[in-house]
Amino acid sequence: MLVKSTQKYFAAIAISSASIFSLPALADNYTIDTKGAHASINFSIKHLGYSVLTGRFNTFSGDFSYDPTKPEASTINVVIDTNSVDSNHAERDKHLRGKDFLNVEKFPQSSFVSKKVVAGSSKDSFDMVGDFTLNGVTKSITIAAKKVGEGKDPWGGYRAGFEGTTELKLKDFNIVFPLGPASETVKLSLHVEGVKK
Amino acid sequence: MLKDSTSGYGFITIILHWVCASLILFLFGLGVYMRGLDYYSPWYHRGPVLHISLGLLVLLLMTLRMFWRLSNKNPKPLPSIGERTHLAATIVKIALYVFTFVICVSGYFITTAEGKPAVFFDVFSVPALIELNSVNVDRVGLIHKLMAWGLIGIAILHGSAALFHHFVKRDRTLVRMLTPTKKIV
Repeated sequence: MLVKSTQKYFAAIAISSASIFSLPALADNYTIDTKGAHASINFSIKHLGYSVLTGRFNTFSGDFSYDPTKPEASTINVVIDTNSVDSNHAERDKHLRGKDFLNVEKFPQSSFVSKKVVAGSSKDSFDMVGDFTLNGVTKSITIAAKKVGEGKDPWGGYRAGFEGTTELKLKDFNIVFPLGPASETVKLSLHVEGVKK
Repeated sequence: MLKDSTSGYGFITIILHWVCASLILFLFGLGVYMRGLDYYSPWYHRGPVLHISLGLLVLLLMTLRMFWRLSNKNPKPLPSIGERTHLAATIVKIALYVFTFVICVSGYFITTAEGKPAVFFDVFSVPALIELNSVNVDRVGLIHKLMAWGLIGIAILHGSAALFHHFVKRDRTLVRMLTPTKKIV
């Protein structure tokens, strides 16, 4: 297991570093701080239309490049282990991993690869367009992102953090379990802190 | 009458046998049924709650049964039963016990995988012993399902053998599990 996940990790780095070489020299490269858990991928969906259920993916990895003077040149790659879905309820999580939802046996990974960044209304906000793969289906999605802050950390490193939200129609990703008309859209909230490489 | 003797089963063994048999068959049906339920079905939550409670009950009764079995005299096989038949019947009985225990315990592990207790009809709850990661829960889930189908297969074998002895061989095998045998002094 450890060997396998390490391989995955290096594969993700190899893929993303290949894209790094094509970037302008000024952009800095960051590793998402999943090790220190300063990043999270959260989802929420309406329950029956009466309230909101939240959950998250506990295991993922990724990196991004970011240049504050040229945010539209930013890129990000994230790989999510779909097995790590966690809604704080053992039976529901088992159901979510199964054929009705994430099909984790067949599709153990979900990923986001950015394609284009469009500057937003303020200096720190932008729309990130990219390919999102879930349940074996790849679709272009747009994440409304915002820089939270950046600077030196107290331990000799340099960090930059972002937050983003997007909404997905479950049907678009071939998840058709009948949860009801109020629960067809899932909202993703992403919090990403990167440590400069 | 209450206890087993070398000539037959007592009242307690017979009651435990039939209560467990009906509970297990019901739980199997409920398990298959509830997995196919629509999210908006009234049984979507009721089914699993009942399944967990009755599963705990089976685990309790089976534990009692095992102790009762071990602390009682085992009835001698009927004279008409051959050695091989008796051995086959014994293996099937042990398999029924083992499968039932594994199914109960695996069910408990699925329910408590994330640290929440298994609840018995809101009366009491059994706390989680270990937390399992997702891969292991799904493995345990597969064991639970396959062994449940296996148990039903073995139970059909066990029941068919009883009926065969009753209607074809016309011996007292089935009757011994229906009426308590008076102690022969």
